[in-house]
Amino acid sequence: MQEDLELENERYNPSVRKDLEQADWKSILPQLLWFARLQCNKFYWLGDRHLHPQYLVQEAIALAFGRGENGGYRNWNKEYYPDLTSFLKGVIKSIVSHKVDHLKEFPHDSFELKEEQGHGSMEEDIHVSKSIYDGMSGDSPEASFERFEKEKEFSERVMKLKSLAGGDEEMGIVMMCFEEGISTRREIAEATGYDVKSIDNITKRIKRKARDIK
Amino acid sequence: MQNSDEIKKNLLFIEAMADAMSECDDASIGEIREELKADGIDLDVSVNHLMDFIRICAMDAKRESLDEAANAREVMEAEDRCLVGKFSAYSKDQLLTLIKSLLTLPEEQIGLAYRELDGKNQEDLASILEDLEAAKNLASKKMQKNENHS
Repeated sequence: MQEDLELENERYNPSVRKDLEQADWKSILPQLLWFARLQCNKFYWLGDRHLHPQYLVQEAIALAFGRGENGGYRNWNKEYYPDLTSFLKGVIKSIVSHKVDHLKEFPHDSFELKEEQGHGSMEEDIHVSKSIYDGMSGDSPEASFERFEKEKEFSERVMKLKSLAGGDEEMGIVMMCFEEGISTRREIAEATGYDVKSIDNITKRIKRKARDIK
Repeated sequence: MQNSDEIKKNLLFIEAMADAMSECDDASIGEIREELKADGIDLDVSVNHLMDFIRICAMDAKRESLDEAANAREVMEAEDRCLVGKFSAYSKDQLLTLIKSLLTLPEEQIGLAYRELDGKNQEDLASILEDLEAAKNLASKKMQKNENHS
């Protein structure tokens, strides 16, 4: 899948709506929900279990129809993304990435984050996500304590994830790739020398083990 | 207390891990159903909810397209009165040919994407053609305006 979903400067192209309407949604939606669920791990591992995968899929669909919040849209370029599922996965990933980027800015804009108001379910979810860090700012002893506790929980959760490999050498090497921010099969294959099929199998083992990390 | 570098490193790790897990996505429908169920998510309920949402999006989009066409027609009627009724004497075949010749440009498809042209009567086709001509005139006027400004 294309890593970065480029926001096009041109206006929304309404001619794609007919293709969107006629798409085989019954088979596309389960795949999108599953992809969104796996992307939601980012928030779950941060300690926020409020974001429902369905909201991410819904937001991606609204953007594809040119009906995102505040007039937001994503143009489906069929030459670039012949497969609608891949396109929408890219949109979901872009939405999640945007939200996580907000979190990464902590603590520099923590006051700004507190000021923002939600305008709908997705915005409310973003607000909930931000609340992970709300308690991490401020000067009061209570706020400092809460910040300490949340940092500790997050750190412990990441330690658990990192220790999933146990004695599995292959898994340990792939985990090291994650630490470097390497996530695509192709990049992991280049970094480790494993073939793509092996990386798929290792990732599946990681996925099974990660299921129990709450 | 952790420093922000450590938090950023941890964020980088969980992002990469979640992305890798998302990319490895050859799960069957049955597996997806079971995995989501384990998280308290009913796949069928979510799919039905999203199908409803898609229907709403499609209907809103149609309404928006038709509104745009209606607006274009109103503007046209106000600015170019001689266009109204211009095609009333054309045959259905002539109207279809003219409309299809204008449909080659994507930006001129607004308002037409959802209409079954062959099933329309002569009067409707003449109206659609008027809308298209109006849209074309408006676009041309806008372009002219922009050129004059620049």
